[in-house]
Parts: sequence; C-alpha cells; structure tokens
Amino acid sequence: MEATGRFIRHSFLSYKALFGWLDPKVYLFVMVLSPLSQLIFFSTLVNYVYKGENLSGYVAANALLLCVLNSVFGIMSVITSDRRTGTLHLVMCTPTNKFSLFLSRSIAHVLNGLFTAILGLLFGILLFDLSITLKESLILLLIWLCSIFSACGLGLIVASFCLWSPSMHLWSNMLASLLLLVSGANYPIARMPDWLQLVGQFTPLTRGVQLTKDILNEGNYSNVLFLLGEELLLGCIFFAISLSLLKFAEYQSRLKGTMELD
Amino acid sequence: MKIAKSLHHTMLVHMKLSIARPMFKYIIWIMPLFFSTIAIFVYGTDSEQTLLHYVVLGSGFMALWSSIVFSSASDVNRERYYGTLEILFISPVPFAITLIGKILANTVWGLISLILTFIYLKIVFQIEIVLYHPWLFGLALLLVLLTLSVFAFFLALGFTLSRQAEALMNFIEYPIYLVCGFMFPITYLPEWVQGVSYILPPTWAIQLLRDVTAQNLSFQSVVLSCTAILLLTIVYVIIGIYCYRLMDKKARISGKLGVY
Repeated sequence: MEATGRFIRHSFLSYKALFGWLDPKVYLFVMVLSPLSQLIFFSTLVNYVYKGENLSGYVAANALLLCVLNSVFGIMSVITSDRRTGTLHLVMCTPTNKFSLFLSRSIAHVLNGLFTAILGLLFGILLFDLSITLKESLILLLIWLCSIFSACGLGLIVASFCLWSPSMHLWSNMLASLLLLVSGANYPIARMPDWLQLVGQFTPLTRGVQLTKDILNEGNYSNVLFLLGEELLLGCIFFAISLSLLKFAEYQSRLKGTMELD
Repeated sequence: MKIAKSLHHTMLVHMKLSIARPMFKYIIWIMPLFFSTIAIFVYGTDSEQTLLHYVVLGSGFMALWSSIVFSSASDVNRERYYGTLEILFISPVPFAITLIGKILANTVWGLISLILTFIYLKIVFQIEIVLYHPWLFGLALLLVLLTLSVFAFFLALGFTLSRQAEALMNFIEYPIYLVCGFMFPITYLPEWVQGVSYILPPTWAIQLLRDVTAQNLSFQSVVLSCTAILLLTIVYVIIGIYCYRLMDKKARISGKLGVY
C-alpha cells in the first residue's frame, strides 16, 4: 500500500516539476493550442480532399494522434529535464528500481495524453459539427487509453537514448513524424506500400486509429477485442524493452560519460 | 562593401553552424520527406495539376517555411541561450545585418529542402513536375524568397522581443500551414479566416507559385499575386524597421536582451 502511494506521489510530483515552473501562457500554447492547430489542419485537409466522407473517423483519429505530444515529447522530457537541471546522475544512481521510477513518471503523461486527445475530439466535434454516441465514446476511451499506454512505451524506449545521445530533439521528432505517417490517421491504410503497412503493425497507435475509424465510420466493433489485446501487448513489450534499454543506456552513459550531455 | 562582406561571411558561417545541428538536419533532409509522403497518401491519385499544386508545391513550401520559421526565429533565442546575443548586438556590424545574414542562410537551406522535396516526389512517387514557364517560375521563386525573408526578419525581431519565443515558434507552424493554404485552397476556409490569410505573405507566395505552374497561365492572377506580394513586402519592411528600432531602444533601456 505504501509502495503504491509512493508510486502515485512520484508520478504526480514528477509531472508537477515538469510543468510547474511554466508560465500558464506557455502551457496553453504548447499543450492546448498547438495540438488543436494540428488537429484543425489535418481535419480540414481530409475534409477538403475526401469531401466530408468519413470525417468523424478522421477527426477522431487525428485527436488520438495528439497524444504524441505527451507520449513522445512528454516522456522524453522526463529524462531530458533532469539532464538539463543537472539532477540526472542523482536519479540514475539512486538505489530505487529504475523501471518503477520511470513507469511512475510515465503514468501522468498517459493520462495527460488521454486528456489532450479527448480535448481534441471535443474541439473537432464542435468545429465540424459531428455527433458521437455515449457508447462509442466509452469504447473509444478504453481504446485510446491502451493506445496511449503503448505509445508511451515506445516513447520511453526513445527517451532512453537520451542517456547516450545528445540529439534528443531529432529522435523525438523522427518518432512523432513516423507515428503520424504509419498510423494512417489521414488516409486509408491501403494507400501505403506493403512495407510501410508492415512497419505500422509494429508501432503503437496504428490499431487505435484503425479501431477509431472502424467504430465511427462503419459502426464495426468486431475487431475491438483482438486489436485492443494486440495494442496492449505491444505496449507491455515496449515497456519491457525500455527497461532493458535503460539498463544498457545507463551502462553506456557511464562508459562514455555522456549522461550529462545536452 | 564592408557590409556586403559581413553579410556574406555571416551567411556562410551560419549555413555551416546550422547544418551541424542534428535537429536542423532533420528539418532540411528528413521532415520534407515525411510531409510530402503524407500529402501524396492523402491526395492519392488525384489529377496531375492538383498533385503539383497541393502535394509538390504544398509540401515543398512547408519545407521552405519550416526552415525559415524554425531557424530564423529560434536563432535569436539560441544566441540568447548561449549568451552571445548581447555580443552580436553591440558588435560594429549592425545587428540587423547579422540577422539578415542568418535569414539568408536559412532561406538557402530552405530552398535546398524544397528542391529535395521535388526530387523525392518525382523519383519515388513518379509525379509529373512540368514547368510550362520555367523562366517565370524562376522569377516568381526569387520574389517568393524575398518576401519570405522579409517576413522571417519581422518574426525574428518579434521573437527577440518575446521571452516565449520557443513556445510561439512551435505554435505558429500548423496555423500558418492552415491559414495560408499550403495544402488546399484558402477559399475552402471560412471568410473571416481568409481575411487573415490575405495579410500573410506565405499565402500570396504559394498562390504565385501555383499561378506560374498552371497549364493555362492567367496573366491577371499572376499580376494580382505579384502586386500583393510587393505591397506586403513593403508593409513588412516598414513594420520590421519599426520593430528593430523598438527592440534596439528596449534592449538599451531595460538591459534585458540576454535574459533567458
């Protein structure tokens, strides 16, 4: 019980430390207006090109993609912010279990990612005059939670590069662009070449996007359990890989002395 | 002559410094490929003219714009972070010249990125890129680069005055793509948004490139876009000079130029 309390407290404190110093204006720009502008851009684009066909699915899929801000950039900043403030070596040398430590720090970003995606969806509903039933909303909530969890797992893998690579903006932007490309949020997945579709099978959000489009455009719920299971499994695998990578990256950073590089 | 030499030197040094940064390499070499791939998947097998105007020119222009906005704007912030902004500001070479040199360097990289996008779409996706009026396209491109550079100067000064430069810089990326109609015509947007579009140089810049690449060239449309670009360039030069003087005055009075 005490361990659970500590886990939750750590998650909250880490998140608070990350954004606590920020001016509310900056938070508004970065965490609210910026993702919403991305949603409006892509939704307007698909609305123009597809002449409004299947718009609900595309708007909702783009809303889900907004979680990238947390699952990639947010998770990355969990480590980079410590490096910037010079506390990373203290964090890395504590006797605490690193996996539990980084998992607890990721939880707040999973929830924040879900919040951003919901905010995006509500905004999209208002802007494009869409309607979504309560049943659809509840199932989407569950799907999105699993997808964002999975995306945060991959985000943590990339964040572990931070211990030996100084080019974190490069890695995080590359991953964000890759997720936008292979998830198929803005086009039917069949438009991508086979090899790119295959890449999509190994990245998070692809299944979440597919389920979102299936449910909202076709009312098709038949794949929910299967794809949701896959997405959840993928997320667990990503978190497991990130644990090994964190250990390896920690070793590399000690060897090369790159832990404090920025 | 000395000014021209400083400008040239700043430009060369800045080009080398910029491309040494991994993130800038991503903006120039990789990001355009992602955007153009997304654009081609969205538009699918639309008509050749549509693909040229909204996929090739749209994504190419996004590359050019990203290079200008992410670099010119953040360069000032970066100098501030390094603690070199005050040194540049009080050096014998006017700060405006240093800034223009940096913007020109970024514009050259942006142009390279635009060309890379064209080549990528031509080779990988076999898109027909036919320039019916190559000389006109060349001249239009020069005018476009001029107006974007002037707009970048205005933005860079705005970001010099603001301490929230990074947040603002990240925020304006998608709104500009949207409002200026990089990937779809601005007539598709609500009328009040179009009002904003018309006072932004990138809107007319991409419109001009679309005009000169159209199979049936409309002389009237080209003249309208050129006139709008020239007028807006003059307006932004005047605003830029005003902002420069304001920044100069503010920096000397408050002494907070380098405060991060």
